[in-house]
Amino acid sequence: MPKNNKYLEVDNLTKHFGGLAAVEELSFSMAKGQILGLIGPNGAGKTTVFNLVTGFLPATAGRVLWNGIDLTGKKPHQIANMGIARTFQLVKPFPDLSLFDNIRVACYGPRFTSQKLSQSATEQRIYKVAATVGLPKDLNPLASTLGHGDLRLLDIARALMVQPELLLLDEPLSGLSSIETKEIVKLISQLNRQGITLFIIEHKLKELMKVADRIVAIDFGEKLAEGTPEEVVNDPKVVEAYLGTKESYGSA
Amino acid sequence: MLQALKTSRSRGSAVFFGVLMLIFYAVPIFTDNFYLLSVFTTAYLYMIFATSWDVFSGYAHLMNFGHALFIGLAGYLTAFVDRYWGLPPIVVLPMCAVLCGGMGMLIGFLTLRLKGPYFAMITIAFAAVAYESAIMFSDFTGGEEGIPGISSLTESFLGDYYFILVTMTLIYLFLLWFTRGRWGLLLKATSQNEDSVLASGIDTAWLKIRAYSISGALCGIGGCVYAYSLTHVGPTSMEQVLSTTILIMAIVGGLGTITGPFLGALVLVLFNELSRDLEEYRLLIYTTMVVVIIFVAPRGIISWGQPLARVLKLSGKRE
Amino acid sequence: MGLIEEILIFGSIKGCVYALIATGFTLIFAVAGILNLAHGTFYMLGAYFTYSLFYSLGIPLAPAIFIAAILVGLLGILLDKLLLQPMRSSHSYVLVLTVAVAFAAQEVILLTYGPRGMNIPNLIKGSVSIIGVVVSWHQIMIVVITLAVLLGLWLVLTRTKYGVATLAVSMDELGARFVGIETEKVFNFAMFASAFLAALAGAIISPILSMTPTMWDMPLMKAFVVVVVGGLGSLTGTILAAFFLGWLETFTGFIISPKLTEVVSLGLLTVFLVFRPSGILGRRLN
Repeated sequence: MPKNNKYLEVDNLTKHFGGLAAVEELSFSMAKGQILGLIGPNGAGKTTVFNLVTGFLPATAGRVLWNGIDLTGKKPHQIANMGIARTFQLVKPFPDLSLFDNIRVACYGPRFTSQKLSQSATEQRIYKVAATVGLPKDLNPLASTLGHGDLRLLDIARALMVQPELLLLDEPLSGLSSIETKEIVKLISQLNRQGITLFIIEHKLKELMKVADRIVAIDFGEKLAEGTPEEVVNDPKVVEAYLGTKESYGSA
Repeated sequence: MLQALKTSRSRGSAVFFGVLMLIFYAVPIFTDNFYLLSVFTTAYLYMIFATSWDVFSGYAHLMNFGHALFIGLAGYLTAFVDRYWGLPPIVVLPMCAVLCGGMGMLIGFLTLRLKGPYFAMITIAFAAVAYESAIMFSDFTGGEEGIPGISSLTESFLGDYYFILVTMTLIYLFLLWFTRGRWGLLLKATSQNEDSVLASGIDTAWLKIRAYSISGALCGIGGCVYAYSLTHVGPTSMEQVLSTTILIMAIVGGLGTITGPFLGALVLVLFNELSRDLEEYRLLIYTTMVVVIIFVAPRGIISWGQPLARVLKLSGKRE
Repeated sequence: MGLIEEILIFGSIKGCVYALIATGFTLIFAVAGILNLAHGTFYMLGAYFTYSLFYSLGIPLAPAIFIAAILVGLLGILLDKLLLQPMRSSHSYVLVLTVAVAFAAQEVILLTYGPRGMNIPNLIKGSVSIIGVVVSWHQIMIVVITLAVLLGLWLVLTRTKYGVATLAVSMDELGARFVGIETEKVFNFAMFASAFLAALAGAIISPILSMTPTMWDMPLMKAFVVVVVGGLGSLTGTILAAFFLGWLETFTGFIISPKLTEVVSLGLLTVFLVFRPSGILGRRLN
């Protein structure tokens, strides 16, 4: 049985692209029910970590353990079916399909179909999830007509259809207005209260700190710090990575 | 599919195609003309080829340039089985479906798990090598001449006509049902954003492989019937020109709609018959057509059905 | 044994032709992401244009080949500008357009020249004996021309402004544009070079193989195999794979059976797709 705070455990995870080390012996863990944030400057390797955890990239070395299960080497659809859902840094809708169909795609994965819902029950579920994330009531328009903020909501709606235990969000607040940002932050808290464990990459530190229980900071694929939001944000290595050397800030 | 009929648009097109089908079934009542009826059966065969092509290439948006491989495979199998075992068509049809479905699985397994243009290349390559092999291994295949003397489908020409028509009808209805449901949705979604489909827990590679296999199997059924109706099979059943013609019919008709290729095949076969004297320019005309359609109406002539119907309905209302 | 020398020499000659064909094919794919199914058409037009320039216009053979290749290169740019660039957003449509062009060209050539096979004369008449194998001077010219052209290509890609820009675009188009490289011009250049190489191959093989309106599918098939084995996008891999295929086919033809040479290329393709789809050298253009 995995220890309480090793619900998701990344163990010496390494990814090399030819000569480039995108992620280097990265290790951290989180407990079930938490919200873990992942921060780091651009190019630090954050999305690569997500891709490694969710099977979109094969690891060069190291492991990812979830609930004691070794995820390393599994394919993305297999991992999704276990109950780990994700969104992407760049929104990935199906532009020529209606909003309804966009979400409906997720209803054909084994995790959903095993519930053996009737067609009308499935339809109700789709509308319910759409309402939960805050999409407009009319799901007929094509996804290509949606604005950026709503497309993010759409991605989250689709991720929620598989009823994930663990949800990975890659920069969910990027490109959003302050109102949209507030809405998604509220949604994140709501989902967490409903029992979903969340792992979030985000640049908007202020908002992230409002919801995250713990934060991991990385740069050049290596861990800089891990701890509570206050600890990490004040860690000198983290400050240096984001803002430059200590000297240039004149503080000890 | 019944749900699909709810919108008036679908009802309009259902009526249109219902009428078309009625005409097809009624034609022999009004005419004895052997030539005319063969034009129709040719059209039905190409409809099978084009719609079976579309169910994979039109929905997954992965171009299959060697669809005639299945026609030829089925044809040669039919010829062998007919010559050596004399089995009736109703038994040979599923055999061809299985053979071609299996070949589809093989090609799919080799290429559809990979990212990149491999699928297009391999479909051309396999079809080309099959063509070359058919010519080279002439002891088995009759070489350039092929294998003549395949039995006919039924006792009478009229029987043949309806056999082919019924086969086409069943395949067309099956494909309509197939694509209106989860297969159509998932293939289209995969073609628009594969990562999101994967992240939803669906094995896209396996999805594509199965869809391609079905495409092959159905084309194989068409190829079997084709061989019977020609009473002959040869390398020309597998040639690149045939594959390209089918592809052009589907694109001109309208990718990813099943009904588009249905229409496209009909239109092009009729056009071909009506322009007999332009025979030597045919390929040139077809290729020009597809280039024009891609630039002017990429969704095919079926996309003109909407505005056309609206125009007709409007003028009907005013009068 | 005389057989090994024969395989080596004739395999190398084949490899040269394959290298010219496949290099152009890889180039346009690496740079513009386009799988040009009309590539074989350039090969065919190189042969036929040379024929007309030589027989109808009376231009001497060597310049005729060169001019033909240039004309085909320009035709490539035209094709790219008119049909391919406008549709770049859809891979599928680009593929279909190139196939349409390939068939249209076949028909035009058929209608203009007729279906019978035709030939042009050897560049240099006569033959010579090398390590016990009788090789025609023209075949030697094939090797010489190929090596010269490939060397020239390498120099252009690494020493000239256009060449370096081409390499940059093949690695990262968006990045190249950020740095101010005019990708339009690079595509034109790549298309020109691609078509030029293919046309050259078509012309220099035509004293040996007859030219027919359907001669464009053979080079396309070979290009497929070479490009998968060598690695889509890797020029070095392409050249190595071209020679490998040339030797393998010649070996099969001599030792096993001439009937199986075509099957060999497909077998190779299949094996690589199953075990090593990225080819022997993988992705980059170098």
